[in-house]
Amino acid sequence: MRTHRLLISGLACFACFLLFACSRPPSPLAELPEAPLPEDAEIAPFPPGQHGAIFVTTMPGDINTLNPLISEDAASGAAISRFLEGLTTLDPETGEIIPRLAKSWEISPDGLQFTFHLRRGVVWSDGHPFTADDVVFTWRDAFYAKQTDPSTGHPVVDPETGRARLRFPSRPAFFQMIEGQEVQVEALDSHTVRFTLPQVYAPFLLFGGGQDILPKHILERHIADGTLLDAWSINTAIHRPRELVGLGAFLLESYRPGERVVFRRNPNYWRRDSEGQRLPYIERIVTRIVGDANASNVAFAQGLTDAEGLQADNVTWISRAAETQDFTIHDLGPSNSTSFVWFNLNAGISPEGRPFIPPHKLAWFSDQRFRQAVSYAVNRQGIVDGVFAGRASPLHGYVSPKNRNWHNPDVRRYPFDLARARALLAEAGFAMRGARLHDAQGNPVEFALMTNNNNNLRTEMATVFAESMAALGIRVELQFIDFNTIIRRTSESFNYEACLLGLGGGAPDPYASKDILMSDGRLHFWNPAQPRPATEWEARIDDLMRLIGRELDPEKRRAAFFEVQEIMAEQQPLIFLVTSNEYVGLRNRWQNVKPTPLGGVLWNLDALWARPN
Amino acid sequence: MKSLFREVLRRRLGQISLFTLLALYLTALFAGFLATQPVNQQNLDATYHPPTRITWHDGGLAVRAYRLVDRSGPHYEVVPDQYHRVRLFAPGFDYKLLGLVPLKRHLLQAESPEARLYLLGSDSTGRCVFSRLVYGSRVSLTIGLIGITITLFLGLIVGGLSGYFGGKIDFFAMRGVEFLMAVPSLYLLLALRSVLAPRFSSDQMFIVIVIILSLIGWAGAARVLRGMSLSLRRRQFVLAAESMGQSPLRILRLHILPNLASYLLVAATLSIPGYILGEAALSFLGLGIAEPASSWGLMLSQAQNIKIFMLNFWWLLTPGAAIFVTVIAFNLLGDVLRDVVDPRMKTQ
Repeated sequence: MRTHRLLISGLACFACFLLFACSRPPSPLAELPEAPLPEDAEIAPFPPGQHGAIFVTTMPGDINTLNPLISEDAASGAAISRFLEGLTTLDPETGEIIPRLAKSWEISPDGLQFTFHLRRGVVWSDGHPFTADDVVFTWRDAFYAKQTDPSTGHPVVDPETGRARLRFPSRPAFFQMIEGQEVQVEALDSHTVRFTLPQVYAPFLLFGGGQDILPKHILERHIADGTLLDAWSINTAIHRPRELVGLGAFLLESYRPGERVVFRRNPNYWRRDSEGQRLPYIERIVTRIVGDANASNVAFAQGLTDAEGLQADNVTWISRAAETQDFTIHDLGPSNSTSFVWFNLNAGISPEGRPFIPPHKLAWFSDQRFRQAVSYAVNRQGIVDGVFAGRASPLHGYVSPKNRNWHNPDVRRYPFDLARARALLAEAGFAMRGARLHDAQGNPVEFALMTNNNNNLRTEMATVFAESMAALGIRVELQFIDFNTIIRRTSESFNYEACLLGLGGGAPDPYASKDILMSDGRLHFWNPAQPRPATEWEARIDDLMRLIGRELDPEKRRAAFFEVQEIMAEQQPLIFLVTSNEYVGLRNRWQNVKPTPLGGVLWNLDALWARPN
Repeated sequence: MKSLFREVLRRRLGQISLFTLLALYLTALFAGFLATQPVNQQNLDATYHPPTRITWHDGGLAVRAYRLVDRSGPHYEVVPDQYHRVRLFAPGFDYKLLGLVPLKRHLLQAESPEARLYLLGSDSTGRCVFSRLVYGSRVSLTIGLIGITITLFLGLIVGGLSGYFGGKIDFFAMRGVEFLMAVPSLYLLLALRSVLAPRFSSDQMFIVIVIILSLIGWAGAARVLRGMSLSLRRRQFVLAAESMGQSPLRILRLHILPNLASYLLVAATLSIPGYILGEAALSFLGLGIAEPASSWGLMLSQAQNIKIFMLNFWWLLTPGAAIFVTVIAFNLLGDVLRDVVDPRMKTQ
């Protein structure tokens, strides 16, 4: 008996030792060398704080990559922006473009040359100086890297476009091409970079300047031997996080897939406070990965996390815990997120030789009056009141009212009006037979509407939409399916009739919507990637969007984008429903909190501080 | 058969379970009459409305008036001293009694259109939970009956024949049964459901689910029935019938089937809850009955949102209670039936 006990306690000790050994890998983060404050250090406009606090958050879903060359999803993008930065950024208070790693810039009178002056004395997190070479490397060697034929060593030429194929053919790389052409980048001296554009590109300062800069001294050899995607990958993040060198306020400390991401403060960050203390104040950011947005919201309500974006319908019950858990919910007003229904207008034929949608249905969907009638029949205020518990606003156009600079308030609106909807349908040749609506050929009007099943607000909006259609005598079959299937059906197989989805984000510049609005765009939901515009109004939108890309005068750009919104409202290819309000909860212990509608609550994360916990 | 019924009714548990089930099935049969609102009628001004209290006021039935105090909750309050008259057997929306007779009369209808008659509150789009529960009972209660019919029919044919004939037929039939039992049913169900989904509308889906559930479920019953018919086969009255030259079909029908009947009855009652729970689980996973149709599992899956627990919208969980009551009633009835037909296996 005694020997047994001894053995057990011995085993327990050994297990403890093992656990201990596992949880503490031989310190991968020995202290990093700390360089002196850069001479061009930016002074943060906030009262000085105190170092050392830990910031805890959750995120629904895992990251896919930490490589900005191939990052396409929001979660990865958010993680990347913690440790990498660009030359310019958007001021979260005024919406203007302000300096980041570039302290100033000049634009040539013809609008083709941008000369950026970089901050002097800035170093990478490992202490290596940041120079113009890093910028040139990021653009010319990383984004514009060409595929080479392994046998000849020459670049591979795409037979369709006649241009060399990119080695990383991802959305970020294409995004930095202007009408398919590259931007010329050259270093004038160690801290001056000049970008020469092939043609005028209005949002270059924002999109080009905002591009995250990569470390040349780390990645150069991997570009040369073709191992870049292995050298800066999820595996690097798991096993050698220290190799992910950055210029951002934080550095990756550890990453466990499906569990958590930990960032620590960058001791060499280039911003300081008015007392000369280096930012950021936060010592570590611990982000736990959880199943879905609801679980994330619950964790915040239980006081487990410091900050959380709250779903509109969860605000009421979470706010009840505000006192006991000591947090404040910031109401940021209407968000940039939109929700809409669209009909499949793709007249194409599937590989099996059948049309994507039956011709008689395509005829309904293509009829502007049908879409307008549907729009009149949607009770937007009812959705706001019922589904969102009043925490949303009706949405009438492509741009959310939040985006004040670009929102056109005077587009055609479709107030809830069943009489007008019926009149429009009658005009388009539809007629009631009994309780059901029939078209001129006698086909009963019915269609299937799909939306993703893991978003309860969307499924509820879909049931409300179906009931609104029932009032017109249209039968709607609801399909709640998983998100990836929806994406496949809307962008590859086109095997669907109608779909309800939403867009988040909301770009600060209208040209970011070109993939959605232009008829050849991959995200042109109702009929993507058209070889040439199928309708006149789509051709007009294409022209206007091209103008917005070329034009430098803000007034002309706005006028063009206002017209785009008017056409969208008149044609209703996307039938907009509502935009949810935005709510962010933050624990009260955090100081220097200054929420703005544009930047949210965490835009000045590097200046937030709390007493160490 | 008549004496069996009398025996069941002689027992307290038998009475309770039988009358509960009778009430439930009558509810399903007269759903249109009992429902106070059309199954899909939404009211976006009355989402998550609490159950309205019915009181006796001014010489008649009445509901209290409610007022929306806080839309963001949403939170409702009773308006003091304000009532809306409710009438029994009053005209309301159109429906078809038993699917045939067009009618307008309902058990309970509010007189004024402003009155909110939500016997069990309303859901996220302001639909009456009570009416949905009543209509949903049609799906949830018939699914078991249809399912068990298919299961026992297949089980009886395969099990009975292989037990009676034995030999090669028995061998191959039982290997087939084992093959079916080895199929991981949940995954098969999920796969079949996603393959078939685009081809069926919501109401056809209901039938498809029953068929899938019972096509997977008959193997167990076939095994037991095969064992029973195997042992009956050796009994003297079967051997006697055989030696008199009766045809196998006649023997099966006249001598073996009556001896299996008691088992079939018990097995059926005890396995119906499995189908009800199966439908609930599938709908809960979003693979079963789809909107705008209604079933108890679907209603439960719509109540799994965290805010429903946090804001105490308990009435959205009533489909769970309905499933609970139905399953318990079937199990009790099954127990009582077994006691009656097989006194040696008494549970008490």
